[in-house]
Amino acid sequence: MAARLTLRDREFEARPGSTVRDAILQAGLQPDSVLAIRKGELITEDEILREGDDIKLVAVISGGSIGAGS
Amino acid sequence: MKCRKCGDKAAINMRQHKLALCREHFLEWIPEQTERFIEKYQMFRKSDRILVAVSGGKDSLSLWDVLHRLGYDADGLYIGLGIDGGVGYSAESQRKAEQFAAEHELRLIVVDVAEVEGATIPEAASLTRRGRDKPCSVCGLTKRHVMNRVARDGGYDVLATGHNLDDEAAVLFGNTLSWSVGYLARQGPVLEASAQGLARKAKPFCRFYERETAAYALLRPIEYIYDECPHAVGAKSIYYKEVLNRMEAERPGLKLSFYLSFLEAKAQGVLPSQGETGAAGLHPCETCGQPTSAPGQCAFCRTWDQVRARHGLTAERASPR
Repeated sequence: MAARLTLRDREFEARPGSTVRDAILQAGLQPDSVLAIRKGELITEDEILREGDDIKLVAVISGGSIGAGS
Repeated sequence: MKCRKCGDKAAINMRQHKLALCREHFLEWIPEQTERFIEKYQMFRKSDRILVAVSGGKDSLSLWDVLHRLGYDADGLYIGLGIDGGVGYSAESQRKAEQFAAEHELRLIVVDVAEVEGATIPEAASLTRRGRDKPCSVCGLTKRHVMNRVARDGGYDVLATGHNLDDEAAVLFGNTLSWSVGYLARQGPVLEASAQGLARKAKPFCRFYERETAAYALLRPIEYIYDECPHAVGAKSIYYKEVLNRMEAERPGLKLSFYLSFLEAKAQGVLPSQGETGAAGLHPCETCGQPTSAPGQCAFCRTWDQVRARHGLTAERASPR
């Protein structure tokens, strides 16, 4: 059974046995742009994914009117 | 990965510092570091009155929380922009800001742009050349004006904003690509007050990565608005952040080093000083009295007069400023 990463309304399958960081990169995301949560707990990117893991990714980038000169 | 301080399971790893911490020690580390930056850059003192610009997002609410924990006298300012975007964005962010203020018994000043100026930011953007293709421009202009006015009128010593290192690095990246020397000269952890009426500004979170401020909000926990501003989609600032994060993935610490090397270069006089680039050419706007480099009216008053004219409102019909 694969592990799953969820970012807002997007879902990505991930291979059990890989690290959270590798799974994030595999999904085409940047590790510095997200935080990973497993069962309500923030986890570091070296954590190994287990079968059936459901990892919630929280996007951390915000922007808009911070532009030039602000 | 283990917490460097206690050996428990780490909640966050900061590769640029080679530092992993558990929840408890991370929640101690953030205020300790904030205090260090406040002192290092001489941002403000415990006796100062601080106005924190609060958007309802993770950075500004975390900053307000940290300043409160450190014992600073900090009121909040929320600016209602009237952005809906199908998700009630402004209404929800105001609710988060008000909820935080109520829970911590802090004073929150709310300024509703539509009430004061006669139109919401999306309405204003659609009615002006400045905002037609980029509402963020009218939004930024309006927020800067309101923040300065409230800070000055309220007698605050400093206006604190939640800009994090990713914000600063993205702005630096953009201004470097275009060699905007004037903007580069004014960028830094502190922007001094000007005799012409610009409030002193400070960015106590300017050395924290964005994922650290997000982690702080999640771990405290602080309820913040998670949805991105609907108008920020495709914003240049977000693009620059993504580019920098791609480099950071290969070179941990690159963003921090980019920003700190810039500050060092500035301190060595590579760029003109803040005084040489900005304040000298400022004079009071003939309508609102706030400092401007433009002749006659400032960009804010020009823009909003245009909005009210096209919106069928006169300045008198909008509430007094």
